[in-house]
Amino acid sequence: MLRSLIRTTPRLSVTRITPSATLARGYHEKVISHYENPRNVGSLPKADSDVGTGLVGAPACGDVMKLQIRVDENGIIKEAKFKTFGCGSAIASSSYMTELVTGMSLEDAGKIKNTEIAKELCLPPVKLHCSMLAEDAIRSAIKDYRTKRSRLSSAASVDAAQPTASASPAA
Amino acid sequence: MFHLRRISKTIINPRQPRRAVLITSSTKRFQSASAGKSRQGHDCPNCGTPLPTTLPTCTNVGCGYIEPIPKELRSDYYAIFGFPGVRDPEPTRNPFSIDTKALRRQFLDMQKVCHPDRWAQSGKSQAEAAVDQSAQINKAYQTLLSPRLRAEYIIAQHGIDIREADTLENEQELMMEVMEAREELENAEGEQIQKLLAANDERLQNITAELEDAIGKEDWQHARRLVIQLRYWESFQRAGKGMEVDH
Repeated sequence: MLRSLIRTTPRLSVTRITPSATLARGYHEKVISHYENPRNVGSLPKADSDVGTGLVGAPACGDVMKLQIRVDENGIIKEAKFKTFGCGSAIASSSYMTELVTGMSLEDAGKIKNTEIAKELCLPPVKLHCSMLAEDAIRSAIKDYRTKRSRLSSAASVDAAQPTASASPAA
Repeated sequence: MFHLRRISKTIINPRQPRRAVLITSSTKRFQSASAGKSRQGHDCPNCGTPLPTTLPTCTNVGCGYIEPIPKELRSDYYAIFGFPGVRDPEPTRNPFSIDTKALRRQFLDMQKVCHPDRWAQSGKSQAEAAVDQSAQINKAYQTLLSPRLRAEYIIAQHGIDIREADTLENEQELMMEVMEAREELENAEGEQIQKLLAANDERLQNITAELEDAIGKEDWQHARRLVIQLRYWESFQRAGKGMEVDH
């Protein structure tokens, strides 16, 4: 997984220098730690009713970030996964975000500001937009989860009111 | 650095007459439209010989006239190369459609006259002017050469900037498409990578053609959307090329 992540971050890898040597010149060690050892990389089943997916991009640089959360019945984030195709700071921001939100309520997670991420990772001003992307991603994942739940609950009430409708899908 | 090599090749190439750019039919309209707008056709204020390019730089032996590029010319990347200025009202002209061969010839001619090595032994202000001119035309050349940067420059002239936090309408659809494509590329190997890169190259060309059309119609918002799409797919192309290098 790490190898594939490195392969998909061209701005860092095309130099043919080992990623850590390239990184060490311009990035803070916390970014390097998340970049070399990203936490919670992967995907959750998008169709699951307790999963919310946030998919965002940075038009300025062409980075894309996917952040997914699995939420329990009490509204607590049990699990978070991410996949980011972008620079080291974008990978580190999303990696740190997944760590941060695990165990949090949806409400608290929705309040996380990009400045928190930027501060933790000591991002330089030119890389602030990477932390912004992570903030957008978690918001978008929460929104997706809530939309999904409200759609399910209204569908459930429709089903309850008209039990025959769903019983004959072929009609 | 690579300009140096190219330039020296041009200098020793006798088949390439200077000013060739002015007599090709494809660039005639640029020249006629730019007459009086540039320094090309102007005389040197110091020695009176005609200046060879749009730059305020004289190549007459012993003259040594060179000045920084004037302000109005600096900010107009088209006018620097003797093309009609990007803001010139000329409804039949699409600023996106440029003759890149003519652009390149003009660029090399200009780098030849203002190359910092040529002016290094002159006075300090002259050497500095040469460095400034060379850097400025490099920047203008790179911008006009790349279709995406050229489009960004044109739409920026019409007040449209693409900022970090900008989002697109219907962005989800594009994001899903980009994410799926990136995941497919991530798992690809060998020939598969080549195939995906070729398909993406075609996609880039299609978007570029649509962009040319949008700029021709002065549909700046659509042009902006297409430029953003180009950025995502260029990022894809870079990632794929990086993978090729890796193995």
